[in-house]
Amino acid sequence: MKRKVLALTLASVLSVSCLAGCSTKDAGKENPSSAGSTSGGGEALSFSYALPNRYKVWLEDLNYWKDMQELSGVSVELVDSGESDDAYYQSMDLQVGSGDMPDAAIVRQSQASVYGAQGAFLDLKPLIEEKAPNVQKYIDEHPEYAELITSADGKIYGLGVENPLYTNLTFYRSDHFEKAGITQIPTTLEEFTEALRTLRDANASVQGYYPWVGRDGYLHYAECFLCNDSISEDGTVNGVYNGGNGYDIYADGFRDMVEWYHTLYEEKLIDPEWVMGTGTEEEWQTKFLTGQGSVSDDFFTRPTWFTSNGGPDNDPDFHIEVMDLFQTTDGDIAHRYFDYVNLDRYFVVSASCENTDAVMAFLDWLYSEEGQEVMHYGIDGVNTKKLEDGTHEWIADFAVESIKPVGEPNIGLYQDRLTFPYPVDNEAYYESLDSKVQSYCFDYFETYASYSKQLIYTEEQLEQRSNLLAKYETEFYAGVLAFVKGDQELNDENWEAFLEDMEAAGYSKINQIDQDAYDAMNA
Amino acid sequence: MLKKEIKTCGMLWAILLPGLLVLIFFKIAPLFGLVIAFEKYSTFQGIFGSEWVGLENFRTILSDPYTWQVVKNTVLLAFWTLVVSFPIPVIFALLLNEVRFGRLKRVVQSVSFFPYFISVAVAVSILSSFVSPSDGIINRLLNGLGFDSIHFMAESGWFRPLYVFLHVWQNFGYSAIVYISAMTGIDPGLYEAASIDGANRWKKVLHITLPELVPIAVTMFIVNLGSILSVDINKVLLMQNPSTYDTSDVLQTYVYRMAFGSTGFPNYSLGTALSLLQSVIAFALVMATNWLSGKLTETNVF
Repeated sequence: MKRKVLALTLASVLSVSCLAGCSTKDAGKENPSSAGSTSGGGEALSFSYALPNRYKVWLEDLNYWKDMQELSGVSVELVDSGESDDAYYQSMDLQVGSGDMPDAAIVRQSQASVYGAQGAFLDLKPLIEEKAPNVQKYIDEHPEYAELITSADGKIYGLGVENPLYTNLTFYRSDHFEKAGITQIPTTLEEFTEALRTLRDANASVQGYYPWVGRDGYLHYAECFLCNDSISEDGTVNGVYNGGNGYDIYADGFRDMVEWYHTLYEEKLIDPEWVMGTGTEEEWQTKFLTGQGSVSDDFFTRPTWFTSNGGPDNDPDFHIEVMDLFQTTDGDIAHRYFDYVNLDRYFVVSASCENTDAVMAFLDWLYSEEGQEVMHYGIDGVNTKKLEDGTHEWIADFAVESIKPVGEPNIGLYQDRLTFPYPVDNEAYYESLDSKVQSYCFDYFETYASYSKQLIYTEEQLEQRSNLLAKYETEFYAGVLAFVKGDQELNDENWEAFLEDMEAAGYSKINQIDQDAYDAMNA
Repeated sequence: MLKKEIKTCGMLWAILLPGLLVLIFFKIAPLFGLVIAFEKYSTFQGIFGSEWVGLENFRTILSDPYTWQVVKNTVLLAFWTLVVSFPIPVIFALLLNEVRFGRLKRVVQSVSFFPYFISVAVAVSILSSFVSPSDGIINRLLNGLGFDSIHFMAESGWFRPLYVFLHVWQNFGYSAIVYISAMTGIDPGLYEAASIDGANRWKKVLHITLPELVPIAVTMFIVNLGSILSVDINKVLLMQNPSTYDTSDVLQTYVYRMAFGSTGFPNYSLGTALSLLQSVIAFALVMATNWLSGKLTETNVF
């Protein structure tokens, strides 16, 4: 009998426990969307806001995050909704579906437009008109911004986060150049190739040395070969459009570029592991720090990063300089492009949000004079010192603050890592960076960087493009790599076959979708 | 009738209940979600609110010529994985069974088991280090023997052997447990009788151990066949690079890019449609093998 009772009890406990996971909501856990208090009655304004974990941590480390809330009069509860970007966006899909979404969140532009049209997010247009005069003023004064946030039905489902203008740039070990006897810094692709040859010969005894090292995609300088994607003055979209950072395989320079990379590969002037896609970011960093590479074309603050992260410790002569962007093959100044609005960061408000007053008050503060002053220069006396002529002198040293470990408070700068929309000020952004970066970034970006024209797609176009890109991109990179490695001889016959393969993989179809999107935006 | 059943088997039903509930709520009920393969699913609109598109997702998959390229890659990868990884645990178990020193046997078995607990990311990283063209031990050996370095991870021809090798290395110890357990159940009298008849160890393995292992081996084969189209997407993604696309791009990676492409909107329906197709093919394979096995070896899983 005892055994029977014991067995039945055990079975009941197991049955109940195995169903425990079926509960959709933790009874003891408050729904984030109801966490904030509404306005009125003298209560403090507050709202909950979903963002990826690392942005939340960064924001909480920033010294003036608390000030931002105090000055705006709005308390923001940051809700960790996923570790990495991809996991975060997938988690937002689920939260949108489950109705558990916090008051506001950062989502992709595609999520904002599709779920917005389905009713998941509020149309911010009437709310902005009514409750956010500073935001309204900004939108009115910036039609290019309005274009990117207004959906086909005229509604605004999300406010995009603006990017400061920056691009990659080419930096090099000036001590290596000096030792190799290179006195003239290359300004053309031919001179660059020669410099790489000289470096290779000078470092022949260094195990695993390749003059040009890097990470991620290796097909750089398409803008110098005049074969990057573009939109002609007559409105023709060339190539698979990626805001000026993609490729136009029918441009004359594209085949030349592939040929050039083949030369670099054959002559061991470029890191083959990088070209083949087997090298990691850590390996690239190690190679550059330990003298197994002399040149890189990467994020513009990397020279400071390498200098602060062990460069001079490994080699007392370690010194990095930045070189100008090479001329185009026509001898003109080349241009690099960057997105004006980050399409991965659109600020949306849940349709079930009960704290819209708080959300709009905070947004409006971000666009106010006081809000912009804080966003651009931090707190007077802590981050910067406001001078009598109205300019700012930075107290915070970017080189020190930017490498502080996560979890350690810093007096750095509100930059792209953080996810609230606010008017960008490029000059203020550059001024906040360390003196080394400042020494080149103003001129470099003024001469070589531009915002790209961005295309907004319909749901249908997005779906078709996504499906086509899934196939096209692998075929493209594998096809080009075959030429670069020499697996395929680069002759007319093989080149024609390559172009045919790209067509079969959907090149023209993608281009047509891009053209349609452009035409629709300019109708 | 019910009363009698409860009286006689009530305890057994009570014990069965938790498992049954898990099966119903977490295995059978979610199958209803497969309906999104026939919809243009939106998480916000839900299963009942999303637009019904019938077989459109299946048409998209089947009419795409690239699908067949990735199906070929998937089947080849799965085929070689099955063909190579299936007999190795059997052979390993047979060899281990012949080891007379109990402690050594246990140590070897434990060591062979360890890789199973290493995460795929770490396993791929170890493999990359071993075959690195600059300082990997394999290439150093090759260089020492006078051969040029081979960039194993960047040669499409090496993708399948490396994938299969990694799979075997990680799983053979774990898979061998089933066979080792089966061997402990073999009647020792059979071996004694064989010894009296003058059979040597090889003959005993051939005529006693192996035939006794056939039922469990067939069962394991049928179970493995069910997952023939399910290659390890994490492993493939970690090992994949543009140099190996022509052999490493499989159904799962292709659908992952289509369904969760960074530039697009998540297409859950397409992913589900493909998974459903995969499951139907795997189910047909399992049923056919089960039937064939019944005919040839009189061993069925069900």
